This record gives sequence, structure tokens and C-alpha cells, in this order.
Amino acid sequence: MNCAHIAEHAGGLVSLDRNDPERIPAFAHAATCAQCSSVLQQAQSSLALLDVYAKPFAPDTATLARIRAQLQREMAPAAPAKLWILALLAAVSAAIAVVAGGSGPMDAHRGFHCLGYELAYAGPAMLAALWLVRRGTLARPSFALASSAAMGALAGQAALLAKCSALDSYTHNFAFHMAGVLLAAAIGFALSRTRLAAVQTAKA
Amino acid sequence: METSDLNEEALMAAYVAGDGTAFDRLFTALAPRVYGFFMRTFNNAAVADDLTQTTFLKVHKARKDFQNDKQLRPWLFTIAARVRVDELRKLKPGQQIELEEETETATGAVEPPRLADEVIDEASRAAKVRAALEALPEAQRVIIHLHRFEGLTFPQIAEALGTTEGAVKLKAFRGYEKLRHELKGLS
Repeated sequence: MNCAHIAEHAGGLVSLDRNDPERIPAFAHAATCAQCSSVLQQAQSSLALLDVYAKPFAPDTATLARIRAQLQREMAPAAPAKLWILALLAAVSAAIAVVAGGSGPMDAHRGFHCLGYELAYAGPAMLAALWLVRRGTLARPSFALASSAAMGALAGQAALLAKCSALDSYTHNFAFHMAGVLLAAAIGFALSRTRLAAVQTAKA
Repeated sequence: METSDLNEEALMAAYVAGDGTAFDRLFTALAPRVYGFFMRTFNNAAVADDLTQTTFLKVHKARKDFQNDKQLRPWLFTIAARVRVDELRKLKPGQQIELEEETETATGAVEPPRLADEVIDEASRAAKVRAALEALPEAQRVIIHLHRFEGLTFPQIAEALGTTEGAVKLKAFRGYEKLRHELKGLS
């Protein structure tokens, strides 16, 4: 430790913990050097000024209350009814398909082909949204995942316009095409409630 | 045990276990710190409001990732620092905050406070200290904030900011040294 080092780094040296191995020799040197002692003393005075006059800005209680209220709204768990409604509708659709069966537009093989087609389209959209949610870019995971999955399913539906041979059947459309969109949204919503959709942070 | 008896890490554990009052207590204790951190960077109350809220939302979502044997504040400020970086990325070119190097005047140095023989009252002294801190590049200012006012160590700050301990220490030393020079006449 020499005078030049202390003159150059006094501000930082005094900010270190008293037992820091870099600080101890600086003060040991200063004990025998009036000039360095003065420099370190002045640096300590500057730090003291900082502590007194540059404390972090503290919000008032009204500001904190407002932030807390906004947080509580965001953190409130989504009403489970939303998921139940989607699941119920999907179940009703599936039940119609199973009960109606047969070889017409409600033929399960043809129906589940359409359903699968939509879910296959929903997958990539949902995964892209999941990636953004995990990065913290999308703030509302339940909305983001459910809507992206539904939009993916709708894209699949658009493709089915050319492939589905039962498009003129309302029951087929409701039981399988509509159910595909609802089911995709329900899966997206359910996914948002899992740890997979947690924002990825460094583990401190 | 009452939550009022718990330290921050134990409160966090209680919160992760589903104790809502523990979150309230954590928010009360830590929100002002997080708010102060964002004010130090952005000096804008509306931005600090938003970012504090975003930080606590992320804390809520990531609460189960918190490791009980670790300190809470470094983890919290790791999240806050990422929120800060995201916000800095959103700034338009004209709004850029000086992140790295000092803005030097034409003479090559930041203008020092004129302190000579003035009788400096408390208010102006406080203003000059704050101005000296605010004149630092944002990267130095944030490090000094976390080190001096939040009590984080250099390794903890490095982890929070996603950089190396050496880089943090270098910036901190530059910042402290600059403050020493700026505040010389005030001591």
C-alpha cells in the first residue's frame, strides 16, 4: 500500500468493510503518513455526507397504498369458475361427439382429427407465449397463455377450412371446432397456473 | 410465532407457505427500498411506481424459487435490477440515461460545486450532495446505492446486476472517488 494508491482510491477504500483485507493496510499506512491520513479522513467525511443527505427517496404512504392496491388486484387468483366454464364447455362438446357418434358429421374419428389439428396449431403459439411469460415480458400469464392458445387453435381452424369435410354441420363445428378453441384456451389457462409459467429469476 | 417477530427471510418463508400477512409485512418493509432504488435510476415517481409494482409481481410469481438459506434482499434486488434493465431498454434514444462514462464538460471535467467560503445551510448542502450523486453515471450510481444504502456486498451486487465482482468494484471505486472530489469542500 502506498500514498499513490490511497490518493487514487481513498473514496472506495473507506467504503469497504472495516475488516476488508484491502482497507486494513490502507489505514495501517495512514497511521504513519499524515498526508494519507488526511485523505482518508476527508473520504470518510464525504461518505458521512452521503449517508446523511442522499438517503434513498422514500415514497409516502399514499403511494405505497396505491401500489399495494394495484398489486393485490394483479395477484388475486383468477376465479376458478373461468377454468370450470371452459372445461365444462369442452366436456359438453366431447359428450355430444361421443353420444352422437355415428358415421355422419359427428363421426368421432373425423371429429377428433379436427380437434387434434387445432390443438397442434395451438401448441406453438402457446409455447411462444410461455417463453415470453417465463422471461417476464408478458405480465398476465393466464390471459397471455389462454389467448395465444386460442388464437393458435383458430389458425388451425383456418387451415381446416380446406381440409374438413363436415364444415356444413353445425354440430360438428360446435362439438369439435369450437371445442378445439375452448380446449386450447383451457390448456393455456391451466398451464399458466403451473410452475412452468413462473418468471425465471436468478436464484440468489 | 407471530409474523411481527420474524426477520425478512422467515417472513418470505411464511409468505411462500401461503401466509398473506407475511407478504404485507414484507411489502411494508421492502417496497420503500425498491422504490428508492428505481428513483435513484430514473428519478421519476410514475416510473418508480410502475417498476416497484412490477418487481413485487415478479417476486410473487417467483416466490417458490426463493431459497430459504439465502438472504432475501440480494434476491429481491436481482429481480429489481432486471426490471430496471428492461425499463432502460425501453427508453427511446432521446431519453437515454448516461450508463457508463461520465458526461464531461468542454473543459474535460464535471463542474465542481462552488463551495469556497460560502456559508452553506442544510438545504443547500443536501442539494449539493444529492446533485453530486446524481451526476454520477447511472451504472456507478446504482452500484453505490446498493452498496451504501442497501448494504449489499460487491459479490451480491455483481450477481444482482449480472456482471463480475471486479467490474462492480471498479465502478464503485470510481464513483466513490468522484464523490470524494465533488464533496471535498462540504466536509
